[in-house]
Amino acid sequence: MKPQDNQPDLARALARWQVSPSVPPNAKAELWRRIARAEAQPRVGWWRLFRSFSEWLPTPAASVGVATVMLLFGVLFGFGLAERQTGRASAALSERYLKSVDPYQKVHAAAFSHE
Amino acid sequence: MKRSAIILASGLLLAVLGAAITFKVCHRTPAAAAAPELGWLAAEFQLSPADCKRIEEFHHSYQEQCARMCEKIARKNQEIRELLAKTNAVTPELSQKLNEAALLRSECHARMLEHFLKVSAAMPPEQGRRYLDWVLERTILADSGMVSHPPSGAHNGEH
Repeated sequence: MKPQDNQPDLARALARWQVSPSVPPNAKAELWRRIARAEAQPRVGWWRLFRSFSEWLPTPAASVGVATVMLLFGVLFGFGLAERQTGRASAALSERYLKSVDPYQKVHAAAFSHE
Repeated sequence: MKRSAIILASGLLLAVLGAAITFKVCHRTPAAAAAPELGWLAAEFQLSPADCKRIEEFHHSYQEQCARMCEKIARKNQEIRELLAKTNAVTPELSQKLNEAALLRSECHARMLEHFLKVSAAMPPEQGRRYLDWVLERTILADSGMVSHPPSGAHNGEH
């Protein structure tokens, strides 16, 4: 039997087929409730992220970790700043030494300071 | 939430304290208040207190010579300036002043070199060689024109 031979039966069956969906009685109210709940939640995940971070932070491991990282950051920052300041001071003093031993640099600096 | 804020604030305080203590420990400033450039020299070339004292004496006695040379240079520069204000040609008089300035420069360089060699000899040999290279590159060997190189590179290209 070829598939085309079944077509009138299929068409009849499809014509008889009826779907009667059953809608719960308070479906509309439930839908609005869900919409309201979704709108009440923050759109961006930052707040949720912050909440979970602030819940995680008071745990001993987290607080020790955060303190260590911040201390390390402070130490590195202080070290970098000190190196930079020392370098600047050193450059200024080496220039000052050169001016103190080279009369041409002294005269030149004096000429520029008068201008 | 409150505990988290306290932990974060404590972390920040730790960071600030860590930065301040590290800065205090690592920031080096030469101690000599009267001549900080000599303090820098001692630190840079790792001089012992005895070497440092000797170099300080050389430095102070050289300062008198240096001041005299400065006066001569300033006077010669002024003379050249005055002549240049009167003429726009290389007159024999101007040419003579330029020769005098060149002679003065060579005399200055000889005095400077004498001082540098003295200071270098007062240092440990390795540091003495390093000092001599460093100071010559920035003074005598850096000179190429009528006026020595700019002190901070701020006036590069003006001469």
